[in-house]
Amino acid sequence: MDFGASSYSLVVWYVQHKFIFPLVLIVAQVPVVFAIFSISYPPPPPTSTNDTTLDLILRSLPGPSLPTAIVLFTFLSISRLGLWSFDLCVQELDQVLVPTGQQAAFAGTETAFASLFELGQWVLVAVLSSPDQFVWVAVLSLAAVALSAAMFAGWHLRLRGHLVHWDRMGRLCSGWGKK
Amino acid sequence: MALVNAGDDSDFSTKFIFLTSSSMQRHLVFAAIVLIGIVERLSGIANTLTMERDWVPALAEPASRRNAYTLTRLNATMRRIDLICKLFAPLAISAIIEAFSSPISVLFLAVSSILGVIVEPQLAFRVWSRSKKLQARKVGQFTASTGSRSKHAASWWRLHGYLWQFLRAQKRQAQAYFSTTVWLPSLSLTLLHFSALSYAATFVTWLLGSGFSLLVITIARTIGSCVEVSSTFVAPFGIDRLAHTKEEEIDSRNEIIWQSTQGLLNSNVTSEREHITGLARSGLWSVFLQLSCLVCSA
Repeated sequence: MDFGASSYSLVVWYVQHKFIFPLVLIVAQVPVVFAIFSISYPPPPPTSTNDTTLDLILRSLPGPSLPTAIVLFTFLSISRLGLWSFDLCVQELDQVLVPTGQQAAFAGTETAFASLFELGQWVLVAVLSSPDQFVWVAVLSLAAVALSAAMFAGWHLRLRGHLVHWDRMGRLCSGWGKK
Repeated sequence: MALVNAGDDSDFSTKFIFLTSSSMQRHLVFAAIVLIGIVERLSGIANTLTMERDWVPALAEPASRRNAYTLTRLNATMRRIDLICKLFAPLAISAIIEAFSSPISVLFLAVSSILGVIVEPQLAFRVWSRSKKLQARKVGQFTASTGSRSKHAASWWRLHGYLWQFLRAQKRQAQAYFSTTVWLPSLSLTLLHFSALSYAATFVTWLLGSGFSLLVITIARTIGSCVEVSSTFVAPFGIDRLAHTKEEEIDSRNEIIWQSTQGLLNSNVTSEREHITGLARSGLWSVFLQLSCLVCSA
């Protein structure tokens, strides 16, 4: 079997069927092993007067390792693409589906909820203020994003009746098997 | 007020009173600045909401017209300008502070702020005076009648009555919010404000504490801002591409939502349905893109 041609036809199939974003998602999840490393990376020890020469040399190194920094900043930056695209989509849904006379009041209530959740973040950070507790802040932040995604997926499911075109996926798998 | 003979014990009380007075003045000035900042922030939010939710939908052309300035493009363009300003404004201010003395920098900030206050209302008035849609009187559907409330307020202590009225108004507004068809997407967007996984103060502080240099963080933030700006190009493309679906994909189970939105849509219902479908599908992939990337970053 010609894997090169098959891979190319798979990419063409995805693009033709407008599955650009899922393709990105699959690629984005590959370096998850690096992510675990990123989570468990310990912060450097605090400065002390009893530092040995080795401690001083280690502290003079340019922070965490390069792969960790690349994975962290790359995926965090790409996540901003998702955030602002999502923001634009929801803003437009609000503009289209909320009656004209209610737009300002609706947006005001939405802003109030946004401020409330932002306040929640500050309270959380105040409670878990120690640097080594930031992992829990990150986990809870991730949980909030997951809940947000689930809420929107629920609405999408109600609107369109499905999330993924399982029939197309089935056809793809059967076509793949025949080859 | 002058300070004389600072080393003299008899003048100690005078010095203490001066310092206290000076400190109090500083605190009062600071409190006034904070108060003005709060008013500015509230006014800014009100202004943004008015422009984004009231003016933009009124001024945008219908989605069905190709090569026109549609709602999607107008939103994306506004967001692009906003994000670019947020990217370059801190850099510009830092450069000005670095290049000039402190009084000149403060003067520049004051003059630019005053110019904004003068120019913006004039431009807004010019747009308003040219649009009949904006000039049309609006009927607010979120506010209920106040007849029963005035009677209610008269029988209670005035302050308590006002508070009660305020709480009831908030309750009505929340009920009206949750009665719309898009409260779930709206709430899911607001929930993202809980996340600390962004280039904000909390995360940057942790990065500094974890050993990342300020230079690395600044470069990462700049790249992140560039990616944010790119979303204003990607999102309209995604919405447009994902809007077109086959007729067979329309499920009868979602007719309830479609029927509830029917009155809000224009005459070209098919086009509007495609538009909403594009928004829903793009939103879904966007939020899952964010989630998967954060899993990797966390």
